[in-house]
Amino acid sequence: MGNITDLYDKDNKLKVDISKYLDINVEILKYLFDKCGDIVQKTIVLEREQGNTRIHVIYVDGLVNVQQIEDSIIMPLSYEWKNTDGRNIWESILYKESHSVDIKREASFDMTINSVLKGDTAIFVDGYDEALVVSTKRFPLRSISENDKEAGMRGPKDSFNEGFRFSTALIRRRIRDAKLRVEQGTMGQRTRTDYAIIYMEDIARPSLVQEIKDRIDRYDIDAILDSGMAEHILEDNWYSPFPMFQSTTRPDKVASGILEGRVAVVFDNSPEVIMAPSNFNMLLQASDDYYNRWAVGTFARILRYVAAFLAITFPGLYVAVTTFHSEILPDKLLFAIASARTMVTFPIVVEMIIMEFLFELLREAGIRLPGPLGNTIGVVGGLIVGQAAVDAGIVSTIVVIVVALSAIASFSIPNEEFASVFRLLKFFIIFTSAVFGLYGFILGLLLVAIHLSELKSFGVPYMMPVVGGLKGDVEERKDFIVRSPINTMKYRPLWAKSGNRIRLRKKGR
Amino acid sequence: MYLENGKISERQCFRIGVLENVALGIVLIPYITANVAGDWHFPSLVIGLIFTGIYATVVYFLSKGFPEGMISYISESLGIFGKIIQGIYILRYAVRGGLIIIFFGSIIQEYMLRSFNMWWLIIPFALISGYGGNKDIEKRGRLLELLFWWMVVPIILVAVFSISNLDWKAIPEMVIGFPTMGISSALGKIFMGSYMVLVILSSLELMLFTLVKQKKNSWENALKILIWVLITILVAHILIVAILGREWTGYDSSSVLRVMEASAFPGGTVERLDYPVLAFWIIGVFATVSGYMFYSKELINHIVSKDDCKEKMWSMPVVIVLFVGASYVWSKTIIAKYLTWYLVWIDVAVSIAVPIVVWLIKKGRVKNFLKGTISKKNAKSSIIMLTVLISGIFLTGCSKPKDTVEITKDVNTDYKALSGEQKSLENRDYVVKLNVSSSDLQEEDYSFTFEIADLEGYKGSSEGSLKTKKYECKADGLEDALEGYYKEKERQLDMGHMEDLALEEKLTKENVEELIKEISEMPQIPKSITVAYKKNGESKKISLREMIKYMYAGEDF
Repeated sequence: MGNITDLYDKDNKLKVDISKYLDINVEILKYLFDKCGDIVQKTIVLEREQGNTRIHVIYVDGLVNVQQIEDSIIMPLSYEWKNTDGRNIWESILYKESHSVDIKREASFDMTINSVLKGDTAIFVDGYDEALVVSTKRFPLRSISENDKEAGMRGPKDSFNEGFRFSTALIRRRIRDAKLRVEQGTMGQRTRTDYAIIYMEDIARPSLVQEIKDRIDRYDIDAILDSGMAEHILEDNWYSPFPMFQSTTRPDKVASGILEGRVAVVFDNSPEVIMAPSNFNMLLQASDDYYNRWAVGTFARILRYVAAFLAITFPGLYVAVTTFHSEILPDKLLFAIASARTMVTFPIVVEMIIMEFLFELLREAGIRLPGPLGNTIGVVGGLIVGQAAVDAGIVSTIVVIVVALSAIASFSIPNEEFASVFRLLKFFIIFTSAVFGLYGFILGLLLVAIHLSELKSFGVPYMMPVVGGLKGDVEERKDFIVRSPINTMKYRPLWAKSGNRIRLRKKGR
Repeated sequence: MYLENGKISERQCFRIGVLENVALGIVLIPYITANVAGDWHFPSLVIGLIFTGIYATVVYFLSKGFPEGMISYISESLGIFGKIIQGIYILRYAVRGGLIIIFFGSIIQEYMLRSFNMWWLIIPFALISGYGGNKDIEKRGRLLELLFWWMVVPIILVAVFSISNLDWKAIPEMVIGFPTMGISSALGKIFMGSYMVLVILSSLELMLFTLVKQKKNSWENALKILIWVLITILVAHILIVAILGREWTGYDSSSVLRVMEASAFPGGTVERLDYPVLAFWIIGVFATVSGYMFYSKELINHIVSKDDCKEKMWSMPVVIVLFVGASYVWSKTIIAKYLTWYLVWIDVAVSIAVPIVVWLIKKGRVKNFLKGTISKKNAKSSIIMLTVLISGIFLTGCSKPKDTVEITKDVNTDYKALSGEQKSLENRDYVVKLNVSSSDLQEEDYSFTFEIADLEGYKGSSEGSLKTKKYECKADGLEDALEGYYKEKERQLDMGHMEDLALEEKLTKENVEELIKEISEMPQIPKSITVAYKKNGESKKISLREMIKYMYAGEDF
């Protein structure tokens, strides 16, 4: 054999077929997995009534349940079976001898190797040009833990982990309806990452499902290491800082989305499940909005909308007002600000940027450091460095308050990816405000609004229901800033399949 | 999911219609009617709104006449004649857009950024308007649908907060109590004011193109737009005139902002509302300018496309250059005079005449009339349209440039910065009280004593009352005094937080009026401050807003 790449086509798929001659298959396998210490393969001779037969077993150590292989494959096959009921050795292994339910025939060498690399065990039988693939996966995974990224006071606490099947199971566990579709495939030529498109057959629009499938097929990529990478490939507006998919680690959120006609995509090795279509409003919603009383949920949403506005505008507004339009400030506040600034060396915009930069630095450091150390950095940064910066005349106390308030506001946005956009745009607004005051502040916001209004996520306007809704369609606004009582939310959103939008009705009607 | 069919919803059409048409009207109409029609400003406004209603009705029926859109019809059916019409429309919109941009720039400069060259303010705005206008109609629909409440809610809020300054008695006086004596001699003024209302609101012409983009071109929606626009203008007019008085309103082209200067959020969290209002007014002007730019771009795309109209990358940059160029042309006083005359007396007629002529051509009436084969019914509707056309031309086309109301007279057209450098907060001295007395010197009129907040060791209100220090100077006026202080101390005297103004009895009436007029034109001084003065030995206190109002009204205070 020549170079190993000769065995593969341009799509990184094995060009060779399974041979009837076991020796050829074994030779290919040994060649493919040369210098791979984690691959276990062995040829075994089976003694049978109709004559001895050789089989070759291969699996990846560490990805399989070795005990299961011993108990359901090696032990039963090692037994000297006398009565084969007229079956050949192949059928006998498949239907009788192997003690495994999840066993299947595989005719493609490529698919067989793919299964082995996922944690299955392959059995090649001499004289047959197919392989048997037994599901023996068991790889190191985090257990399902409490959701620390999207925590809520009320509602389920479980979260997805990196296990693809765990994630699909957590969704299936919540939607016990046969019409829940889980269409699987792989993405990434080298990582062969499993994914599943999950939707309700009778609620999701077929065009939406097809659009997602088409986009997945649109690119060949080496690796999909997280749903975040896939998300960037699947979206149209790559230049936009705003996420076009909603990513979440909460199974209840995904189940709720699927039941509204959205489509979820689960990726192996990623605890984040992505959903489309998505919009601005959804990204400001939290699961417990629906579990709490409607008034409480509504109050929380109003808080979040205000927080989102503050997160993007507050520092910019402070710079604009104090630099150009101090007349609008109450006298005492202005005098306090001016008095506090007498010791500060830098112009307001510079001290604001220094403080914002410091805050972002602390945040980044807090994320990278292990848990307890990360917390320490927060305390050290917030209290000690902040106070020292004020004492040294680098920043004024008011700026520390403004930055802290905008930071707190950005943390109250439930979706971290979305919150990051606000933190990013905050710098843009600070810049426009520093140049043109309130005029620049409004022009900056106008630019953001123009951009937001042109965005669509899989055909749905990003700013729905503020824009794009139907005239007089109050249903669209029942799940907006005001979270209406559940018993009044009778219809699914507009993107659900037309003719199947009713989700609540009294029994007997 | 949503069909991309080049159509907008009724809600989007409504919001486009309102946003494109109210921003300029709110600012200009109270000023112009009060300025031109004097005491008869209200009847003048009402008649003007009726004119506007008739104009909008004609626009609506014309839009029904071009279900495929007038621009599409012209470019597909009228050949070279169509291209000429399209060219004329592009120039018309550039002239209109240029004027709006320069007027907008001068207001922003005067109120918000006095130390900026106006080009620095105009160019970013033109670029952003171009960016906003460089979308298809669906995106434009979504954009203005999103921005609608951004502008409307602040306007409603400030209207509510300024109600405390409202002179309720002035409303019935304005609406029904206008003088009947001499009304016959004032008919010309009343008509002129009314006509100016129509000129300002003739941006409703854009509905000719927008209404047909609706999924269903319904008369209810067109009527709703018209009612919203008219009522908003009417309410704004009543509020402004009832707060400022007819004379001050007619004197100041940005009277709406003077109203907001004297208004504050309850509790004093925001001391004055003119800046927030102005900030949101930007959105309204953006809607209008981006609308003109949007249709100019569409027209260019149609002119240069042979068969089906395609977006051209360069069309919007060309439009932006045209509009900014038009602003520059407006800045040249001699040309501006003729442009104003054109805009007032020709452009409105063109906006109606061209679509009517095109409509008649489309219906084949012109051809049939020439052949003598036109039916009675068609002849009747053609006569109605022609009557509208001819009345429009008669109403508008018989004037000379000297008759023109100079709506651009307050526009700062030299693009230069208005005043010196703005100092940072800690390098300003904050005036809390100003005493003005007559100067003993011959050269200067006034002696100013500024009480300045002493911020050394200031810890906020809990530390007792604010200490002050005094600065005295003699000057010809307040601006002179401020400049003198700046030169002497290299610090800026900030008048934005002055609470009291005291006028000494020795000041002559002329001195007081001159000073108050100067103060009334200084946006940084809040109009809600208290003015203390003595009259016939008796101490009096009055708000600055009221004092200015009385002064312009020629009343004694």
